[in-house]
Amino acid sequence: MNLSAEEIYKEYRDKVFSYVRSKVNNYQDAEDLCEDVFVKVYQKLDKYDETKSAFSTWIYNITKNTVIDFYRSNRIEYELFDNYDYISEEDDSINDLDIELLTKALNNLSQELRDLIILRYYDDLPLTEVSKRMNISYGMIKVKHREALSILKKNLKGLI
Amino acid sequence: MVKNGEKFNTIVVYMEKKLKRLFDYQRFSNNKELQRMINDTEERYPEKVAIADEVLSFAFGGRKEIDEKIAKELEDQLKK
Repeated sequence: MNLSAEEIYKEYRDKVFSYVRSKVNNYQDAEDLCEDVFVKVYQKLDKYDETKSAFSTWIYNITKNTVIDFYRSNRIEYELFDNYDYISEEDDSINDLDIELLTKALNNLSQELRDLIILRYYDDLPLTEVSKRMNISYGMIKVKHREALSILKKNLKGLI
Repeated sequence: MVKNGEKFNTIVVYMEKKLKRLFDYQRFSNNKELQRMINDTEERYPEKVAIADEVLSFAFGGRKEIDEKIAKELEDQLKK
C-alpha cells in the first residue's frame, strides 16, 4: 500500500462519511464515527493484504463494522439480517467492479422494474410499502419482483 | 429432491442478500451512474409524509377552532 495516511484520508473521507451519514441520524455522531474509521484504518494498515481484497473494499468493511459497533453500543434497533453482521476485513465479495455490473444489469430492466428493485434494496422498503409508493397492487408487485430478480439473475451471472 | 419452486425460493433469498449488500456498498462507493438511477427513482416515488392537521392549519390558515386552540396555548405559554 503506497498511499500515505493523508492521501488515504483525502481519497476516502467522502466515501466513508457518505456511508456513515446514510446510517446514522445525528450529524455529529456521523463525524465522530468517520474519524473512528480512519483511526482503525491507520492502526490496521500494516495488516492490509492487497492479495486478499481491494483497498476500497477493505476500508468499506472496516466502515461497516464500525457502524455496527455503534448500533450495538447504543442499542439501536437494526435489521438482524445479512447487512448487519460483522464482515471480515479481507472479505472481497463486493467491490467497485460489482457495482458496475449491477449498474449495467439495472440498465437492462424496464424503468418500472428498476424502480422496484431500487426502492426494495436501496431504500430497504418492504414490498407492501413499494406497492403503495408505486400504486401497484401488492399481488402484482410480488409478480414483478420475481420477474425483476429473474432478469437480474441472468444479467449478473458472474456475480450471483 | 428439491422441487423447482423451492429451488427458486432459495435463489430469491440468495439474490436478496446479494442485492442488499451491493446497494449497501453503493452508499460507500457512490458510483455516479448508479446514483443517478437511484436519484431518478427517489424523485419519482418520494416518501409520503403525513402532516398533522395543526401544521396544515397553521400553514394554510385553515380551521378556525385549531387556530384558536394554538393561539390560546401560545398565549398561556407567554403568560408563564
